[in-house]
Amino acid sequence: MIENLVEITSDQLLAETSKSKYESYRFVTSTCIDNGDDTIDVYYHFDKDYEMRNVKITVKKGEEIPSISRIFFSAILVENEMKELFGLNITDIAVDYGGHMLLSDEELSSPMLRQQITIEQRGGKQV
Amino acid sequence: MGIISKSRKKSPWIMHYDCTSCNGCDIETLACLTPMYDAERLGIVNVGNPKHADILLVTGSANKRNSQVLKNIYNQMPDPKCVVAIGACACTGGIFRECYNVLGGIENVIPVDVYVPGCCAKPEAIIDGIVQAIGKLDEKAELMKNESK
Amino acid sequence: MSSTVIPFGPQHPVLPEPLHIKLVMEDERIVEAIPAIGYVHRGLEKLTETKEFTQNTFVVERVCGICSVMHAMAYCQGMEELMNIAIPDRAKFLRVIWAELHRMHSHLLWLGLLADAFGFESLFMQAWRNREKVMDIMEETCGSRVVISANIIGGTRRDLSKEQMVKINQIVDEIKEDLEQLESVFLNNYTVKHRLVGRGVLTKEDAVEYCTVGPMARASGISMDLRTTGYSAYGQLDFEPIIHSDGDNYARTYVRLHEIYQSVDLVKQAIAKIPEGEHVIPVKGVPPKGDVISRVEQPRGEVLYFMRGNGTKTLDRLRLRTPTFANIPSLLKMLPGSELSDVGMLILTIDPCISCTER
Repeated sequence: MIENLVEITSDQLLAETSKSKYESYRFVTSTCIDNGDDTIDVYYHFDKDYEMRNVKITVKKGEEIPSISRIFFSAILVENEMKELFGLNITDIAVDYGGHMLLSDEELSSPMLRQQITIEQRGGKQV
Repeated sequence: MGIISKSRKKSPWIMHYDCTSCNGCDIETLACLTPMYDAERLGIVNVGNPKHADILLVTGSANKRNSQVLKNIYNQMPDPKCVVAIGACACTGGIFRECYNVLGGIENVIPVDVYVPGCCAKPEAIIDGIVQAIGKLDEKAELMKNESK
Repeated sequence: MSSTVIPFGPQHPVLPEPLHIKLVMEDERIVEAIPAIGYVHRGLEKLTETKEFTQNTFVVERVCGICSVMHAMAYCQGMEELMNIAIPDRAKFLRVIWAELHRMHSHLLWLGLLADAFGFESLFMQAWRNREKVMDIMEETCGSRVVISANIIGGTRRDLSKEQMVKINQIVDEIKEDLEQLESVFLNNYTVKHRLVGRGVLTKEDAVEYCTVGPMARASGISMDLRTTGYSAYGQLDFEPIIHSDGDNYARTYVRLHEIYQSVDLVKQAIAKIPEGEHVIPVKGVPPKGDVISRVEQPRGEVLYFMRGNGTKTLDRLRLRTPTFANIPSLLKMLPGSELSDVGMLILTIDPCISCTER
């Protein structure tokens, strides 16, 4: 269903991103999906003249992923977001908020992960 | 009626703070001030500084980060003061009640005097809420007077 | 020279929404800008995983009230693609009509806020007075002013009658006439130009480098408008993206102002070409396993929806990337070097929608 999908491993990511940049693709965004088991899918979406190119990597929780923000600066927000909400271990982001971009400092880690804590346990919390 | 209580009643100054609103209630609050609804005919003036404001309009529910800001703004306002919670989110948390970063309605953070329901709240309802808050403001002023005696 | 740090926001008269930027200043000039967001973060993406896929239409509308129609449109289009549903032609045209009306209200709102930011209050009032006409159409056709819930999966929730279309035609003409009067003030007035021309320049190279989208990109000379890909009924309508090459505040004002004319034209075209027939078809079954991407042009630029179905009523993942999220890096590029007095204007000219950004 997704056009131009390329599946790679995380150590090929920087080369693939550089290639996209060289071919004058525009970085659209990244998507992070918890597969429910031990792995996380990360998609990187690129666009050129309304044609999309999608790069997919599958990583284990806690595995290091290189940051693409040195190639596409506009990836800083989404990488910080993924780091915070999914607990992805993205290294060397150009502007690193240290996992506290959206949530407050005392927040528990990574609310978007499936097997960590459910919404019922946290949603109706009163101050 | 003294000059202060008269001016408070005839020209309440409002301040608007957006907590986690979806913008819907925000733009309706702003729309109240523009020619179609023209809240200024009731003397209602929008100000940007909490130290000038009598009534605080809050849209959207509280989350962990903005509850500090909300408390700060509330504490900076001079007494007597009123808080109007605008929209379903500000009243109860609305559709976002179950979200992980939402603490529920703003009543969990600061005391609320008037609740305006709706998603999004209509400008008519918002103006009605402000007018009710003016009444509350008067009551509070009376109370303060009696206490100081 | 020693530098000073000035906090901008979260509560600021120029911004209707809370955005906090730490400005590192040297004298009156900004040397660095560090944004701190999170004041509007709710966790909407997680919420959509617990709701049924039909309910999600109404959840995503509340990502942002200003562009709610386009959010629902992008979501519904994606789900229709995933579930292999062909919606009636009439529904496509109805979606375009409501979407373009929404674009008009959003741009008029922005013009008003811009005027307010440089202290031209009567212009602000005039722009918003004009906008109320659009809001009246929304209320009359959908029953609500801002979050109108026009789209559902399989078509639209309501139909437009012939009389309503005639009336919409008249009202958009009136909006156009009113806007023509405002246009000369926005684009030709000496004081207004003084605040707009040459301020906050984003060159075409920078716009490409920072992956800018929407009117921001078009004001920097990039011809990028997803509507030209012809989703929904846009393929059957005739229009050209509006482009300006200067990349400053003035160019962005020009692009947005002329897009209102374009929307007026598109609404009229859609009303003229709309076919008879059903406006909604019933949807059976649940979304199958699979991923889908749906993209739509919002008033602020490109929005991307990514959905993963798992064969049940709920979705495994719904991810959305909103235009302001893509435009904040360009703002960080524009701010250093500008003066403190221009900061409010600069932030406003990217048309920030913080509730979109943080969800």
